[in-house]
Amino acid sequence: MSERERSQAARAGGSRGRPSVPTYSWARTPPARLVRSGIQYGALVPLLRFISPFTVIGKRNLAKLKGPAVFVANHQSHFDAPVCLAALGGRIRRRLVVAAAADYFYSSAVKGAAASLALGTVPFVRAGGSSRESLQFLKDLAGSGWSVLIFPSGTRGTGASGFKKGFAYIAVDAQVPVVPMYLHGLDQVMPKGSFVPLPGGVVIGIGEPIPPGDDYNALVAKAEAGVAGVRTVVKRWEGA
Amino acid sequence: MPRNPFADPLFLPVFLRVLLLILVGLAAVVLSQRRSLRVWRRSTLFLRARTWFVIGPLFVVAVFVGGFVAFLLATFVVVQGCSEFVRIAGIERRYAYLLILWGELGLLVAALARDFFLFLPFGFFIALTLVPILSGQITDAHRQVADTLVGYVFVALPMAYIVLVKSAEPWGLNFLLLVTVAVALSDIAAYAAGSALRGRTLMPRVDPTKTWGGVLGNVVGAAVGVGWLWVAVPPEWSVAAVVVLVVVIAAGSVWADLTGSFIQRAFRTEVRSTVVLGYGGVLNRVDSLLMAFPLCYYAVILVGKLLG
Repeated sequence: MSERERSQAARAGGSRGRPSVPTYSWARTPPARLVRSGIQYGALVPLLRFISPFTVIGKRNLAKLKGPAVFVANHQSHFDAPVCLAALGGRIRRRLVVAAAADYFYSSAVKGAAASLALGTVPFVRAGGSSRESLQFLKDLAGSGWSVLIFPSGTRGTGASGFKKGFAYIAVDAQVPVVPMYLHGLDQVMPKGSFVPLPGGVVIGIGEPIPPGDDYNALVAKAEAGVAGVRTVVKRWEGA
Repeated sequence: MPRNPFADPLFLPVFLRVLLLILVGLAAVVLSQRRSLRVWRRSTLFLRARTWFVIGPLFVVAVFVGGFVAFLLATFVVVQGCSEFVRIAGIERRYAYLLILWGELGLLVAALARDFFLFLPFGFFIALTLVPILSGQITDAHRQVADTLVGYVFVALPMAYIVLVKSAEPWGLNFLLLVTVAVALSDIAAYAAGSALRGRTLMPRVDPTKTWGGVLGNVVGAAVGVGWLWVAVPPEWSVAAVVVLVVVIAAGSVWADLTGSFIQRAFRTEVRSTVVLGYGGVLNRVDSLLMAFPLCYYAVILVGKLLG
């Protein structure tokens, strides 16, 4: 049985019964999306532009996307997801969910609801049996037209390599492209262990979409190479 | 409270002059760069011209509107400028937060409680020394306190001066416009003249790129800047005050260049921020203004007192 077939078998099994991980489906209803748009346009993006004025390189690559995609980026700080949302722009942001660590962002109901409403996050279980269920849920969302933003390093400050395979399962099984992104400067704005940002400029690089193919490992390698390629472009641009 | 800028008869003449200045600069950049459009669009000069096209009119509108709009602009400069200095100097985050907070407090005191303005530097020193005292972490504390103080005097205090002069003096707005435009032109002219004339370096150990040709550019740029905004020169000012202003703006710009250079060399770092396209950081763009502004203010006051 190939890895993809095993994954599909797991999907069949995982869809049965009541999910053990809450899906916060109310956060993707039209009224919640309207509120989220208001929060993001009215407060989040202007605040981010003030605290961390950001420059986006390679935004034209987003025009090549005709449907949902899996966005993968290096993970440096809690600011990563909001900055990515701001950089991706309204067209993509409207139907995008962010995979957020369930053990951190959903440790309390209020925290989880606030994150889901303001940022469009969904709980992602990083380890244990429920992680397969989380992946399945993200695949279902990608299959129904939602883009997914995920930080495949799994935790903050681990650089742009050593990606875990979860994003590849989503992209290959839902047959959506992977878009590599590289975030530069956020490790100085709010590094791991810090809870108050120290303002500063940020650069976000967006690479060309990578077709999903049918090999999970190959896609992981391509995505890592893609993020490394965007990092080179960002560093060259910054040093210009 | 924010005001309608069009109610001020000075607004349109100044706005149009600044806009025209930027357009002339943009045209000069286009003519001097004989390259293909694709290459040209990515050049630093184009990015700088584009940046001026945005921040020039924005600055003029903000200072004429005043109120919280001007306060937001000043806040942005203090927050980003202090953060950049913190990174250059390797200042710890707890000192950094205090620097930014005191910088913000300085803006409020300058605008709303001028009687307490003189307390700001000493108050900051007290607050700074309380950090190691209360935290008990005294390793390297003397260097952290000293570097944070330099950051305060270099970035936050001059910004508070700008707010103070603008709100306290009847000609504060005119003075701010004159000095800002003249310092900007002085910097640009120094860059252009330094590249074209070259000549002997001024202080090779401090800044090997600053030449006497650049200094000449500083003087010419300052004079053109003040002349271009002659409409903003207060009628009660004497010609001597204007001449002194030009000289002090040029001298202040040179001093700011050299000081910025030795600070970066002393800390052996150059922060490549990306806040202002084409210029890097906010500090790169405003350091000359911040250093020249208090100097120019006291020079004008001194001339006024000497000449009665």
